[in-house]
Amino acid sequence: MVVIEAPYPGLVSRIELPAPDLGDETNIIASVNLHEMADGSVRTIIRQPRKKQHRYTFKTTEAKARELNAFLAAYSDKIMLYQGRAVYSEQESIESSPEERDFVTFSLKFRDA
Amino acid sequence: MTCTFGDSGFTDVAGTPRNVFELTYNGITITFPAPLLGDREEKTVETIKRELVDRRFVVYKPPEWDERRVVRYQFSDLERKVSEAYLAFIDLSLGQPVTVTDHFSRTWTGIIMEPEASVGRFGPDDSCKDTTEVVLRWL
Repeated sequence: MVVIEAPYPGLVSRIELPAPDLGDETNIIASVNLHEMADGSVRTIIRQPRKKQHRYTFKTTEAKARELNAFLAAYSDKIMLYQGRAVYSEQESIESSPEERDFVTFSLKFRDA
Repeated sequence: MTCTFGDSGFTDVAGTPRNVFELTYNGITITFPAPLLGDREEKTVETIKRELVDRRFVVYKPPEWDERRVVRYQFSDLERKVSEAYLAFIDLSLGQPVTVTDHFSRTWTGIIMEPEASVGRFGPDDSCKDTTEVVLRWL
């Protein structure tokens, strides 16, 4: 089970979700551009905000997805706490799976605050 | 058809196949299992192409411009602590040459080119192991 709370730091609301069994990814926010000089040497230009991005994919009931929708509508512009980590919500997509009518799949993308 | 580990078909692959792959930077080493799910090499040659007024097509490529070698490895079966260590490793070594000791026991220098690649679980998977892709520009 995972917990999202908001708004940070004066936490008011809390939502509990099942573990993100359908996807649990993290990446650092960074980029590398490589330039080759005429003498054959290589230089790199990096962008490194030292922050991470997280994407979690859940499968829940429709009622829980509606609850989450309402939660995100209220706090998507605020800092939230995802499992104790201060994050901004970046985007979310909710899909229903045709095989299992009572369940929906949704992905949440967060960025470190 | 069953692929034999180490039988990549590349003519320049020499060395002893092994089950691990290491990245080292500044005395810190990350060890992955050998990339059995993905091991691709891309070679590109930089050229300048121009179509002239008289409709001739000219390609310029001086001999000192080396071909670019980019390798893409897909690692699976990663423990979560290895994934976390790898994210910290990228952060430390961003844009810097890292020493690669690959699964053919070759040691070479490369730069991690797509640091924003995700590390984690990408779908229903009972193994609870992580997957990631590492893209390296061969220097």
